[in-house]
Amino acid sequence: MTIESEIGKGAKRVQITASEKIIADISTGIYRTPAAALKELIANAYDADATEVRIDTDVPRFSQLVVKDDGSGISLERFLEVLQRIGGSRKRLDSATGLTPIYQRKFIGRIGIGLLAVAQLGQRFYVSSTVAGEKTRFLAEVDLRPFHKDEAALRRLGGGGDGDEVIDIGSVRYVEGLPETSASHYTVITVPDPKAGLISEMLSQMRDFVGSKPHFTLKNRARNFRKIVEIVQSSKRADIVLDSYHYLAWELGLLCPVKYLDGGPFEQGSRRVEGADAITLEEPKLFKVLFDGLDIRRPILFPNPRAVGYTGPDPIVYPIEWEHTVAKRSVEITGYIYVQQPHVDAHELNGVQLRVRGVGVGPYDKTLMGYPYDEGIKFGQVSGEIYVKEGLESALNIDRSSFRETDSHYLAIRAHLWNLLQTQVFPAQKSRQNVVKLRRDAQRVEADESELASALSGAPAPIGARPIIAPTKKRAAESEPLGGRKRGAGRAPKSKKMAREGEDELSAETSGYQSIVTVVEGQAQVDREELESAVKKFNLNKDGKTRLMRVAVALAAYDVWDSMAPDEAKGLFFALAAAVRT
Amino acid sequence: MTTKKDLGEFLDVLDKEDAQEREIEAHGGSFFETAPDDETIVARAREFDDLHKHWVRRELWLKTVKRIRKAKGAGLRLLTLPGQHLFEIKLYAKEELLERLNDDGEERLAVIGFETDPTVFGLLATAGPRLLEVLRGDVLAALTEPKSSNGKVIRTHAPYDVINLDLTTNIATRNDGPYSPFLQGVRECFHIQGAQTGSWALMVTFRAGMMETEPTVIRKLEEFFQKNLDEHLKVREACLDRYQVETAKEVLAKHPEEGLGQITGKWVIEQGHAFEWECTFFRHAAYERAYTTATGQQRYSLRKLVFEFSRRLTGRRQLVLGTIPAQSWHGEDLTRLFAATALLDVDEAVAKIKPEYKRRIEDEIEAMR
Repeated sequence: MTIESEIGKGAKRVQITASEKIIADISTGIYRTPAAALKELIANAYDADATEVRIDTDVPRFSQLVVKDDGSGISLERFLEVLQRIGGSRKRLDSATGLTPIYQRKFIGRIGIGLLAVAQLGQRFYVSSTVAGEKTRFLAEVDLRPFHKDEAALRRLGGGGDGDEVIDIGSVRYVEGLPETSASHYTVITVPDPKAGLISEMLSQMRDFVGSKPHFTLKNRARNFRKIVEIVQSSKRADIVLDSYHYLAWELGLLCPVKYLDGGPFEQGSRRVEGADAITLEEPKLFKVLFDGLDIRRPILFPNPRAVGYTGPDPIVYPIEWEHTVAKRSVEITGYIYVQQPHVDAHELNGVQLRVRGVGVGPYDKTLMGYPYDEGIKFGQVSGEIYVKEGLESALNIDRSSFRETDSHYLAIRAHLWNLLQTQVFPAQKSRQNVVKLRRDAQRVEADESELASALSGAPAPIGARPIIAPTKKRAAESEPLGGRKRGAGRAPKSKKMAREGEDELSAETSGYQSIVTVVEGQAQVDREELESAVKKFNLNKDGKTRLMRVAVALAAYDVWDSMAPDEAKGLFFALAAAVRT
Repeated sequence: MTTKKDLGEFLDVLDKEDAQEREIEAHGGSFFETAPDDETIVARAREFDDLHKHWVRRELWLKTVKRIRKAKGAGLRLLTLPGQHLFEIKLYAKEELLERLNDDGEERLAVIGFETDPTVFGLLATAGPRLLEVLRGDVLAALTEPKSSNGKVIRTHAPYDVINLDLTTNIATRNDGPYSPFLQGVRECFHIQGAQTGSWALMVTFRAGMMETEPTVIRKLEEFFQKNLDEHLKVREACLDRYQVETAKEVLAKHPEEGLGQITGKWVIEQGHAFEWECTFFRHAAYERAYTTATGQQRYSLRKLVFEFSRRLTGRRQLVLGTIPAQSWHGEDLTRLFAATALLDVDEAVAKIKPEYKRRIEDEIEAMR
């Protein structure tokens, strides 16, 4: 960058330039959403040991945008110096410990990038700051229009240069020595004329045109951030239930280093979250962001209402805690993987988000860092945060919304995540699901049988509701013919003792009664061979087979089988099999 | 379902971005384009926390506002230029003089504040106590341009119980020519106060620099004043009593800065008459300012006028006439300009204040920062 001061009438003016390479690196990432741009300013405030950042959007007019922090402030000299090195933060280099002087925070922001980000919110903006102990402040008017003009964009993206070319990206005019109290320390950024596109978006004009009906609107503004989170929590997509304004607030929570909601991200209420107590959450200390008075928090609240009433396994949290030395550099991560059925709401929270020093780097990655197996619906059941405590910095692209995916730290973290997913999370999902399925099936059978027994309680020959599959035809023929109230000769014995005594008296040939469904000691038996034959013939599934047996039992309870000859009974049995097949 | 018209409207909105860019290209709306040189910006910024100004706040403004509050029996609605540290607002709020509004759980003071400095605006927009509106821009522009966005906001919240145009400009600079935004703005105050039913206060501050003020405006005000002196015997007697001269020209020649303040005050009172407002209270405070520039030591006089108005309707019998004749009370109103208590020399008052009181004021300033 070159600075040419022009001192004369009016404010001093300097040109801002940056190398083509830096500009090309920045490309479009930081402009993706207004929240991504604001994130940069909030990160700068965090680095300046601020305890509070206030954002005022002049809602619902949006005629100006103000971001004010109570951090240490920046001197004019430093401010101008930063403009010389847009994209190349010196914060860490300036600090012997790599930590902020007051709260010992690890640096996260890059001042120059933050300024470029603001340029996307408005054509021109003002920066004013004062440092504690100084009795003055400066006021600078920053105009970075050339930076985002189409022509400049073409130049920067089309390359053509050797990367060392210097591009004029704007100018700054400033006045210094404005009076301030010595105890004051702050930085204020004012965007007096937000871009028409931004205002239109904040007003949700296009959403209105298409008849979108979000839960919160500018006329019905949320006054409590938790309310926003709760609405999103029971919705498939945050951007459907929130208008653009509220979505911005919600997204800020995802991207900025802010606290979780009071009570944390896992509510141990109507549904247990297994392992939730075992994880350590990373939250900033003494730092808050107020967006038009809304206390912004990380908008994560599980389990979703949909999961609370779902009959799957309980939601579970897997802790992440791992450190290693990779390429002689230390990498340390903590965090968690949360799994719930049937799926994670909202869609935007599905996947995994990497947070470097508390700042969310881009949105949630639904591919789980490119996990190379198709796990089907299980992918939609995962939501995780990985707090990168050490390392990965070199992998951060300058837009700070994505990573260089060949970086050794990035690859190491990815390997750890994949390993966790492959060895614990997904296998456990299967086994936990099977356990639940077996339990659920058993419960269903029990309930069905109970209902059948109840329905048959008034039948002429009440019999057990659960049919027993008799081992052999021969054995069945020795049993009591159906009904228990057989009229005429050859009546089968009614007790075990009697049945045993009757073994000598009766045989299959002489019984004269069908042997498909018989009753022994008040319990219906279905002949295995005939049953399997019907199942095979009519291709019945498990449920169909159960239905067939139950219908047969119901008929037995009403003596239907009693008078049937074997052929008739077999015909009826097969007819029933055909009828219950779905 | 989106109609073609909807989509067209939407695209029209996006088209404004181009207009924005062109306006900025032409330096439209730039703080530095309209601001004076660096020294003046700094000097003006220093004016907010000095003893003289705070003396006026306490002894003149606060007492006036207390009277209005007492007469209304409820919290007041204020239109003002709050300044970085909200001294005036904090002073009133401390005495529970301002209306407090509950904006869905968030309390706001019924204050509409204007600020041109982007930093101060940013501080005000994010500071506590929260104000009903903080608008960036020129209050006079908002008053004189009803269709501008700020002009609409100012009218949405009208009428006000107190309007404080605490400006540091001249009533008409030489750049303005005979059309003074200052005078236009003051006149517009009476328009927006149309629905006011009780007493209200108007406070105006301006620089009285004879050399900086547009001569045609001074000449016109002087003519109006002479007309009053000719029409109202009471006014002529009061003027003679005060200045020992009988003509407007002589008053201005003998006391140029005070005279400029007086003829401006007279003009304001007469605007009130045109809107059927009787001036029930008038004060004219003044103090000098000095500052250093590359060309040497400079000075100017700040005039701070305070008016209280109450509705005084024209009699029904007079309304049937084509034009409303001068009312007898108009002359009485104008004599307030020359009352012995009307003029306050703040420099003198501050010089005389006891050390303990001075310390109290200084402590108060420090505490309110």
